[in-house]
Amino acid sequence: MRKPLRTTLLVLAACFALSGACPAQETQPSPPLGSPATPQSQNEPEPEIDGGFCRNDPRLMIRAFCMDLAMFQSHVNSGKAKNADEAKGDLNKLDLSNPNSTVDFITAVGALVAAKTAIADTLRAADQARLDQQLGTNNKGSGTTSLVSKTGSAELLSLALDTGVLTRSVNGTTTTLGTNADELFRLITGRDPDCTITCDSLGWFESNILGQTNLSASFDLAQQNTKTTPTSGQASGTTPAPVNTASIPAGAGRMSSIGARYEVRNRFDPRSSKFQENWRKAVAGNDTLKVAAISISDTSGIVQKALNQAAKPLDRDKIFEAAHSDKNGKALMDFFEEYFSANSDKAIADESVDAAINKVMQQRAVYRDAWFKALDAAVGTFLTLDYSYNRPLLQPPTHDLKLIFAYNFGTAGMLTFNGAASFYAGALPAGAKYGRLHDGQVSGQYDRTLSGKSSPVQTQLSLAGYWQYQPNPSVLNIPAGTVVPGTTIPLPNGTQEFVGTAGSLWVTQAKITIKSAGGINIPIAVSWSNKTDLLQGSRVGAQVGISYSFSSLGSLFGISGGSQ
Amino acid sequence: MSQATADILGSVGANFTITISAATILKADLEIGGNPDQSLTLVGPREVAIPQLPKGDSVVRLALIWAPGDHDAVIDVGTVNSGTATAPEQDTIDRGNNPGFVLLFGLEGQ
Repeated sequence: MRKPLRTTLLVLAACFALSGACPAQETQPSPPLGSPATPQSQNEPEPEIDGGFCRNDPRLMIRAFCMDLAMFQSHVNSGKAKNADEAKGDLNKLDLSNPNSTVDFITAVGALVAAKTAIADTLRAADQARLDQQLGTNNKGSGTTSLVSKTGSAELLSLALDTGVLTRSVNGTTTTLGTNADELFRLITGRDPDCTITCDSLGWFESNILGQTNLSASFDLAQQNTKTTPTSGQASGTTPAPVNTASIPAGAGRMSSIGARYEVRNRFDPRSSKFQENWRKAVAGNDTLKVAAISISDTSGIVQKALNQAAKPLDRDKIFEAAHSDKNGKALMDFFEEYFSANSDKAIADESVDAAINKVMQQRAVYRDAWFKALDAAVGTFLTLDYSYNRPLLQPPTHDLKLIFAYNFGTAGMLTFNGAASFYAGALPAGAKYGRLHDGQVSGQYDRTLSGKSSPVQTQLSLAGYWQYQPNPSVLNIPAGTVVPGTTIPLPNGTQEFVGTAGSLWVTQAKITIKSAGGINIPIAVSWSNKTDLLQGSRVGAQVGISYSFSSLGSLFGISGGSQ
Repeated sequence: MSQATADILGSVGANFTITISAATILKADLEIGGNPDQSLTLVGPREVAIPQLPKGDSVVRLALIWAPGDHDAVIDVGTVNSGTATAPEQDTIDRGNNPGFVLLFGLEGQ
């Protein structure tokens, strides 16, 4: 298990360190998102242009028009365009008096004029009705509201605070930070956050690894992180044995688990008739996507007319000369910057244009969100693999592996099933009377939105059942310094005791989640269990939490997008 | 814009259809300088009807949804019902772009 993870991390690190150096970014065209690597089709006009000289340029307009600039420079360098007339198609996209420049123009100025908070709000509102997201920690947390893990995760970044236990005995409060690896990568590297079919700048790695991987870390706020330090002598009183070391608090909050989950999609070929039929059905059933696409087009038309009227036509001969004089593209970028700066201000001076750009940027975020939902619907998620490393208080850490499967009935709700196994981490102590397996689990949950999807505040009902089987009772680590009851004899370090009982642990939960359009979710739940991990006897408990989804954080950071 | 930068040239008043080789058209509007946009009829998911080609420059604005695996959409002339219409070069709409634009130019005396 370790080697592939390390290899993946090395590749990721290389991609971060050497932007543009990943193998998939070379001249070989990369497959579309989620598609298997396939040979270039016969009717494809030419290989994709890399855009290496302009992709990371600090100037927004250069980044927004990068692919058009790169295409033009490539055609000049290769001799395919021997004069400006032969580069008509390329230059139409760079000419601000031409409609073909509109999409990139909005991208270039959108990052400056668009209200970033409005974009984030719009996207969060679009996500409000999702039943498949899990933002908090899993059922092993000392503070959790999730008995059953869901297939989906945060769009970009989420923060959840949960209190109340389900399977554990020690009640606590847990905060969980979750993120999608691809969105995080785009945030850090400044790559196009609005992309859909062009989200393939890293090729296979991005399409098949980053895009489907979510990471999370949970911290137990009720516990202190401690550090062992040597003592320097007794300050008062007497002890039968010298105390050589002591635990001191090293900070409030203790990491209770880290996790990674990977969404396994069904294999598909975007050229297959079966996928295309599924895609058509998914688009037909996705009103949000269609409305957003039409809104983008209509509103872009307002910008286009103002821009085309305000901008002077591009001096095509001069820009050709600039590209011809410097094969590296610097002269072309400088020429274009001057042209863009001289003409863009006039267009965006109009308040209606400013408002239109703002609206397009919001709708692009909604479109992207809806587009990926359509893709998920067309492809179908096979299942989600979930791994977590749990560090329960005073118990040995465990590796937990989980398979998650969900079926969405649309307006009738969603069913989610989990199958999981938990294994003790690290080497088992000599003479341990228990095996590697801690427990096996099976669980299921039904979710349904109760209030209408048009309501500003929605409520979601969840009913869940959980069964866990332990071959042995739970293992409790006896803290250093504990004495044998009734004596002053300290127990040796590393002593473990069985606590609780082996066998079945049953839990049921009913939960209402209040979901605001602002991205705040408040789950409130009650549960019943026949026992807990350390204690015998049934238990009725309550769980409550609050979570926040930082959707479209890239827009909040002012990262500009490109095409969709 | 001009005749030199247009994607499709035709005779003024020509009735024809425009096709694109990728993406799905949800809505199409004809922009004629100084006039309100004119909604166009979709003949199919990748075909739109031009009832009467205006004189000089005009623009067709297409609301598009792109599917995984789509390449750049090649603009072409479909059925010519009256007059003349041609796509002199294989101009394209970049994959992922929404809206997509098709530049028309109506010539008199053809």
